[in-house]
Amino acid sequence: MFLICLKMRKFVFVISFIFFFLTTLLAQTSDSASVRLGNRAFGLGFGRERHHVSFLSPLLYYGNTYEFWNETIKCQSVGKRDFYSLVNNRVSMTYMMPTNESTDMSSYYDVFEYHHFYDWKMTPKFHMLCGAYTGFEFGADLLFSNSNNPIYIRADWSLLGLSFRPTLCVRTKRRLIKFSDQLDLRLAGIVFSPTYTQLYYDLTLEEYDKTEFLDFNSLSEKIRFSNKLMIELPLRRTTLRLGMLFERSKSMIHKIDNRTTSVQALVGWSYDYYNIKGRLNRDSRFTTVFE
Amino acid sequence: MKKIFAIIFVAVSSVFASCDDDLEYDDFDAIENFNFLWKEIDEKYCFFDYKKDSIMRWDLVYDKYVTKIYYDCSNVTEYFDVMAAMLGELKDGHVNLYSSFDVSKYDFADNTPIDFDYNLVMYNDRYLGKDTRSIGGFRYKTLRDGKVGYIRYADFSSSFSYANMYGILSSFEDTEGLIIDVRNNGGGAITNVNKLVSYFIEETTVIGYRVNKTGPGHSDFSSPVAEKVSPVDNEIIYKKPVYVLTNSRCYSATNEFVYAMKGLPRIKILGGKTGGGCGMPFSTELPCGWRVRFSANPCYDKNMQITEFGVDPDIEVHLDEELAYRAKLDNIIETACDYIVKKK
Repeated sequence: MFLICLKMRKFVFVISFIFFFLTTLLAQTSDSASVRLGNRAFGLGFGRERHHVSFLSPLLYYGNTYEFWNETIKCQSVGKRDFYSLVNNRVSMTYMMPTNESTDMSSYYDVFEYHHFYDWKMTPKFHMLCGAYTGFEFGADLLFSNSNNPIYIRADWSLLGLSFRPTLCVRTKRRLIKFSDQLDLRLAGIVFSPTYTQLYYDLTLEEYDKTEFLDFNSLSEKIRFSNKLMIELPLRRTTLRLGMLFERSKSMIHKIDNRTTSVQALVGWSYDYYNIKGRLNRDSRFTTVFE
Repeated sequence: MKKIFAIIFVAVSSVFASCDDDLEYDDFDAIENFNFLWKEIDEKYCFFDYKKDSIMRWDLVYDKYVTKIYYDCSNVTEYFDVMAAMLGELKDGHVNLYSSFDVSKYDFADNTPIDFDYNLVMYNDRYLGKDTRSIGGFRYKTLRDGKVGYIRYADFSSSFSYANMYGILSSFEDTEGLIIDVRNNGGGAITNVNKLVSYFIEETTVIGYRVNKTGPGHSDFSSPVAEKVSPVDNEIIYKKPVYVLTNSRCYSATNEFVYAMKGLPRIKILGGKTGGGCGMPFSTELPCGWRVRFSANPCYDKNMQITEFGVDPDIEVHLDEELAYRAKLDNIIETACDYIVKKK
């Protein structure tokens, strides 16, 4: 019995050694360009928001906003050109009051965006990512002191927007610090909105053409601009991401005036990840997604 | 390409340049709050055109009351009263001004017959009294030795289920007719109106039309959209004569219930003219923190008529107060019962 166990252990050891050796061989013979890298980041945001939606109130509301955000950026090489896809998701909640502090409004919404960038390598350390994005925002503004119109549904599908993300990588003695600034500008989309003083009750009427709630719009009707400045600082084994998000949107759809200005501080962590193929072919040169 | 960049640049800069200064108000400036209220009503109230012969022109209303703000207001209560009086010019029970110390109301049933004696109906054994069942906002009983079903529904905010209605209508299986008493019912949820109507129709029926305001002009309205109600399960539908009892305190959703039921087969409206209120209320607020409610989207009956000033009954009967006081009889209920048992 003891001999069988001993032989078994040797067998496992030999198999493990061969497997490890073979993968090393594969890694050495593979083209390092096939290593596929991505970067994930997640964290919290908090700041101030100024919001106005004439459907609920003619006043301007101010308050604190909190959000959970996460972001995944992935490199995709086509020939000698690099492209990046970026998925951004933010879940926000905001509590606001007008200056008279007589009532309060709360907002809950989710923003999901998909960006596609072309990597324009201006210098080895400075990458200008230029591209477009699409995404949606879904949520609601709640003002329960209103009787028949306590809710305004925030539903906006951004069909197309411009997106830029200049990124600068600075290597100090032992650390790599990454600066990036993401600018997004919505060009066109579809917004779900009632008309002026229309109530959502109309949606329950069979005869009502529900598409009247939809409005295809461009810059002239709705403009949304956001700027996210970020810095990534390696901290022991993790990378800290600090940022500042400025967002401004203004729309006049179905004669409902809607304005939002938001400034937030972002704190989070980021890390590079490899797919299985990339992990096997990992090269020490690839310390960050942009380098 | 340059043009595109120029357009984008102008658009982005306009967003930054156009601050929200136009939304900044002095919270406690009396004139600014007054102007604000006047403008909100001017742009969003829906019956200016319909009421042009019965109310003062809204620009003249401004002239009349702005002077009062200047000269007759020495404290916040007087200020509230002037604002409330201005809203009273609209003659609309759906228009209210809410402050921390009072709510303004327009009495839509002022100088009209009362046509309802609460104690007479609720505590008299001849009507509801002791042996009454109640569920989902309904109180019900059979009258005239079980020949007449009687339902009292006092508030359309009270929801009810299919099971509730099944229970009630099953208990009226052997009756010859039904009375639905909605007198003094000030309204509630429209969804309950549609739900209740669905127990008295046998096919999908247009009960009215809805229109919504599409802009700040007094005549900016969308085209009408039919509001249809489908019948519930055929087994439960009440197929015998139904009398809906009304008075001038039937308002808002109750008014809608009455015009939805009026003209349906086997159904008669009996009592007094309803109080009206066919605008869907909308809320807004003033910089000082007071809130305003007003009619924003008109509803039409199935004949495309606005019923803001009420629905006329098919059979007009008013409460005989002398009879009510001396003989403890509600002649409106008695008349409905007589129609059902064929005495009339």
